[in-house]
Amino acid sequence: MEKGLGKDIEGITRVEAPDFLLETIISKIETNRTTRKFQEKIILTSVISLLVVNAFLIRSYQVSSDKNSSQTELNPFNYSSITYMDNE
Amino acid sequence: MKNEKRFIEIYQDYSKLVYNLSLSYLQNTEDAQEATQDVFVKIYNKIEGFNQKSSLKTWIYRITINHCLDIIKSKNRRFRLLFSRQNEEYDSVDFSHPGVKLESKEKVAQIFKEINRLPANQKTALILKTIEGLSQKEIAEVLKMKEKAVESLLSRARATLKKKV
Repeated sequence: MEKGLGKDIEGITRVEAPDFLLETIISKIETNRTTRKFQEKIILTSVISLLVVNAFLIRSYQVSSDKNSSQTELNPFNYSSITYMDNE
Repeated sequence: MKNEKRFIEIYQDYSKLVYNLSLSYLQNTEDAQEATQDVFVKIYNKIEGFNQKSSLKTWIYRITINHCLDIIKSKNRRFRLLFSRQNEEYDSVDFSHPGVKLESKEKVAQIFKEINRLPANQKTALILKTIEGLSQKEIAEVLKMKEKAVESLLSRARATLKKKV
């Protein structure tokens, strides 16, 4: 069997790769590169947008907390200003 | 394109090897062409990371073998999903090998059908030895095994085929 297997399989001649393959390989590489660049741009844009949104949120939180604290200071009935020492 | 000249040199030196090895695994011209394209795209993307621990030829052999085995695995997975056959493997390959003479096509197709049923490492050892004509030492290098282990793989593959062909 081994001889038979060898004879049949070794009878296979080696063939050249078709000529058009190199062109299709190069175009695949170019397509991959364009896709990768596009994905990188999308990721970069998303990261920048996230940072901007975050900065905006932090800023608006700071503004609202500043407003709150200034209002509290002016409130004469603010609980934090009441001490219970007097009751003793 | 980076390293374009070097890549084209590699293509010219190894395209025949990659295409013929893909044909041996996939036994179909279209699949082999697709595999050859994908292997060279991988080579292009990974060539800068190639650490030269092994020869370029061995490295290309490994990439091609792994890629072809992945294609076969995904074909088998798709076949099982489509036909709900858990332990069966896809073996109705549309045999078209430009290197096989018309008169021996049927016999070779039958042998390949049996080779396809061997475990992946036995199949690889047999293809590298019988079709690629590599020595046991070279096969051991490609498969990252000891020569004795390759010898054992080959004898088990031959014994299985002897029963079936």
